[in-house]
Amino acid sequence: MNWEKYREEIAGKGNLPEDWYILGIDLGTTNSVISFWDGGSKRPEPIDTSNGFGKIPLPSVVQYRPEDGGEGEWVVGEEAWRSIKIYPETTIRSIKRKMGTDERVELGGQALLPEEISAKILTELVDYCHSLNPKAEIAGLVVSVPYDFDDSAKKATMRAVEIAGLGDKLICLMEEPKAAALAYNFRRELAQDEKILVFDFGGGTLDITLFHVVEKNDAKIRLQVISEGGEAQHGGDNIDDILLAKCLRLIEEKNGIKPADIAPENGAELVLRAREAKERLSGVKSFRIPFTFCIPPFVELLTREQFEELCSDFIDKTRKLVQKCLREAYTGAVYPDQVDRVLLEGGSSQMPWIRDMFIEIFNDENKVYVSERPALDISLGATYYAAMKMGLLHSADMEAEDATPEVEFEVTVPHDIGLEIHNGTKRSFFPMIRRGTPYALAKKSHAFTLSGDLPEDMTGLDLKIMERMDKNDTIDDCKLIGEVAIVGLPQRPSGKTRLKVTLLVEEEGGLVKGAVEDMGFGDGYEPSGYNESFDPSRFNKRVVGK
Amino acid sequence: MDWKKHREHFINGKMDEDFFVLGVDLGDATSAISYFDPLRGAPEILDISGGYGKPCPPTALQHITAGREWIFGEYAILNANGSDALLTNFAGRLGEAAYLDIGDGGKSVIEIVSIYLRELIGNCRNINPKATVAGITAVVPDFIASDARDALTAAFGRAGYASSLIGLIEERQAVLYYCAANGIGKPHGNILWLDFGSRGMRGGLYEIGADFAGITCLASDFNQEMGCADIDEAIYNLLAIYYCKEQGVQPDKMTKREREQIFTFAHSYRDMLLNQDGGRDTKLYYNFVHPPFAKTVTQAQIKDMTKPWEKRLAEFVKKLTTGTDGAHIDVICTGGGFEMPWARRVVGEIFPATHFHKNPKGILAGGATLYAANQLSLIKLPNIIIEDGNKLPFDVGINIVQQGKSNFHTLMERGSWLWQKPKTAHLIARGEDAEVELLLRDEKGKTRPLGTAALKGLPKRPAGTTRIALDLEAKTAETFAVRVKDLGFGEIFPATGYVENYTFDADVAR
Repeated sequence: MNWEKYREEIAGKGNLPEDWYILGIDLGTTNSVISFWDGGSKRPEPIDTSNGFGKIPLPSVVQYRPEDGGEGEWVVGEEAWRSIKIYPETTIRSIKRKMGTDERVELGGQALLPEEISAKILTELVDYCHSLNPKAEIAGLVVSVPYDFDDSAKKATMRAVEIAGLGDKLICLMEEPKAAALAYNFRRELAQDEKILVFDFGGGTLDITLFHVVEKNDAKIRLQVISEGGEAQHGGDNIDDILLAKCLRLIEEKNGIKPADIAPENGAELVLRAREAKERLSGVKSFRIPFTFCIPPFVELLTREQFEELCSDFIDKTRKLVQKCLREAYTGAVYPDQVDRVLLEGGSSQMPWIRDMFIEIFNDENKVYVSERPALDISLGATYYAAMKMGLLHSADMEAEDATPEVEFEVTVPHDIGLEIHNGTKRSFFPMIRRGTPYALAKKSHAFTLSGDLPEDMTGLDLKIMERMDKNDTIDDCKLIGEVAIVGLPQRPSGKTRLKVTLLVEEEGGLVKGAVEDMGFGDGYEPSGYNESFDPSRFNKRVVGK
Repeated sequence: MDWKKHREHFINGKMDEDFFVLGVDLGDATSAISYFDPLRGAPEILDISGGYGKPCPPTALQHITAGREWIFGEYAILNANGSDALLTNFAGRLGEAAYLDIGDGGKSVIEIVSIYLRELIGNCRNINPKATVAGITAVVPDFIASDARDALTAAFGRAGYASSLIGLIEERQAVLYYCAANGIGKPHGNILWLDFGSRGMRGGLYEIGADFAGITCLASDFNQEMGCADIDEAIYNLLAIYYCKEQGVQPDKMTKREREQIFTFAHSYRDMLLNQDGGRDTKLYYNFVHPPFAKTVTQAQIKDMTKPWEKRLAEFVKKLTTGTDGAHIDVICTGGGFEMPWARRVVGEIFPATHFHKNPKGILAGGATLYAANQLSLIKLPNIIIEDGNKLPFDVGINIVQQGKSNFHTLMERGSWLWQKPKTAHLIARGEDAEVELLLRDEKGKTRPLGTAALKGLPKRPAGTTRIALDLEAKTAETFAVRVKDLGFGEIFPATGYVENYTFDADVAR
């Protein structure tokens, strides 16, 4: 039964059966979190993935342990992370950063795509739901993705959900800062007209989203996204890499060992040490990094000041990304004094320089809030959204019962979507759907006239659907969503075929779809009835109209 | 601003989100802080870990001598490095006139606790930079002496929260506020509270009146041999043995650095070993040594380790509820010990309808928050007053002569539980006769004799040369068992081992 059927049944029953689970999953770069909608308390509850020992997030680490003569064992999560030094060559972390690429990982005799690795994390997470209630039936789920995920990374996430056997349960993908804002909204008294900047700084990505509380009364809250920014490859992992490079330099200086000569298990130890140093320096002002495998072993003191100096370029770039998000708001530039609060989310936002940076930008320390549980908010927000989509936060009966205000959440398309066009030899980006367009309106058509010197130029056309992540990006910076070969168009003279190309972005998943329709040309050339839709893919060129 | 002034501003039970009403449970091993969520009208635990770990931080501080820096909670444990002072278990020392070594000097227990409280409560400003603490209630064990209560109040004052402190309430009161707010316990039924903490197992059986206001304590008990600290020590020892075997180190020859590394390592695995549901074996990865090695601790090992506690827990619960109809008992469990599945199972087998909260460490702080919210008129709960039949109605003590002045010295404090056995008192008899007169002192300060315990038949010694060990135990609120033993006087008058036992009745003394 797919999620829509479950929704119908829930509407019919008027409540959520005890064994039906509505889930929100934060499939993170460093940690992943799963939450479920608690029908009793009418709020999301995170699921402890540590079998009761209290650590809710599951490290997004997948490990293969080869066994002599056997099939080997897959280990996911905390156990895999803690044993990375024992299995350094078969432990995969931060796979999220590779989503949307076709970079395969050799593991257990298989060449696995990033989505296949991610599917193992998803399966592990959902298993915890079943251990909570062996009769659990997954009715629907929302999976979060970073704001800056491109179309192919989103598609890869959807494939991971399918591989995990949850394809028909996926309600939609949801952008992470929006999920965080939604969770925050249910916990705090947001005021009408308030502008909240959500700074979601995770292991792999930085997402910055500026929200406006457009309407707020006892019955309704309407949140609107007015700016989005950040970067897909700008997260805590980059800081780990900076520290790792520093550790490698120290070893070379002290022991004369070159990075290429370091054994894999010692390399894994350095990864652990770099992460540990970063995390500790959030709570202490200096940390002694032990280099136990070196001969002779040594300890190096790293102060928080030195750490921030090492990361100064990264910190500077982060500041610029925040300023850009304010400058490029859909409603015109937003000045720091127009923002009412900054909400820090994600594990990497616990680093003290983040708070200092915001105090410097906003010149007001009273604006910087940290979420109560930044590790869990995205998953909790995704669960809220799943519950909304399943009709559990909209039902008139339920509203009357517990006075939950209706939440209207205006989600927007985060990047420009368009086509690559050629003017002679010059290639350029032709935007069709602009960033900031609400999903409900994210369907745009444009008529093009077909011309060419050869007969086949008139019967076929190659479309390159592109995504522009930043408005200053050139066509070479744009990311390819997919190529579509339009074939079988009616044979007409050059300039006598007008084609209507439509692109749309689906709210469920934010995926781009399209259609091509022959509009004919004036009175002389009637429309042929050619009308084909397409679903572009970066890796396989789609051919439509055959 | 004084908390009472805040109450005047919270009209119709409405409070702005910038105000924080807090409940603090300063525990021996871990502490909890919760705040009143005005949207839900209920307490919410302030998750110090931000959701990455456990919400309740260890009651630990580290002092970095070089930068005069204080490290709080989990970071203090993780940062244990063998050189800087790591302070743990200081909450239980409140009331002692002791100075704790912080590496470059000493600080009083009150100062240390105030630093910890400042950090703990300061987390409010993290989640809301405009946070104003409108009121705080802290919980204290019901058996601690008034000196310790005064010291905790002083620590809040030194942390800057003197005017916010609504007061200290007993842990059992906090639990009963939690029960009242959450519909646990029926009118004229009983509530059994079990607390499995670091220092021991405590429990109380309470009879609920028509509303929650009138509550009678039917029974209470404490077992010092059942603390989680003992289980933690067993885990530490096991992990240390593995380390020593692999590294070829004699356990008694481990350096301070090695011991602290094992301590941190045991801390990081403790919950995984003890609190996991589902009975899986646990692999320990000794990543802090080179080359790293792994060891497996089986569930059977853990079961063997905790078996004696299982038996004691079952006996403890049965003893507390003897003669009471189990069908009319609601059971609530608090303390980190109840995170262990076996502890829940043991209680669940005796009382299948037991209320197991997902965060048993947070209930006391939650109850304290409810009390604070009630005092600030944000919610309406009955004022819980507990009548005790198991507490001493007077002080029991002796007169001590110092510099020619006779002063009453308390051995058992009025209001202490009958099961609270005081430490052995070491005295020097004034006269030639080896005897001690015990006195009762009422709430007005008036004393009367309880009885005289004498060591008869001792060889004659000069006045002031007989040391006596005195043990006192309350059998009932009126009956006391007294044991006196000759300790001699150094090498001049060696101890004879003479012992006398007495039973004194306060009613007869009257």
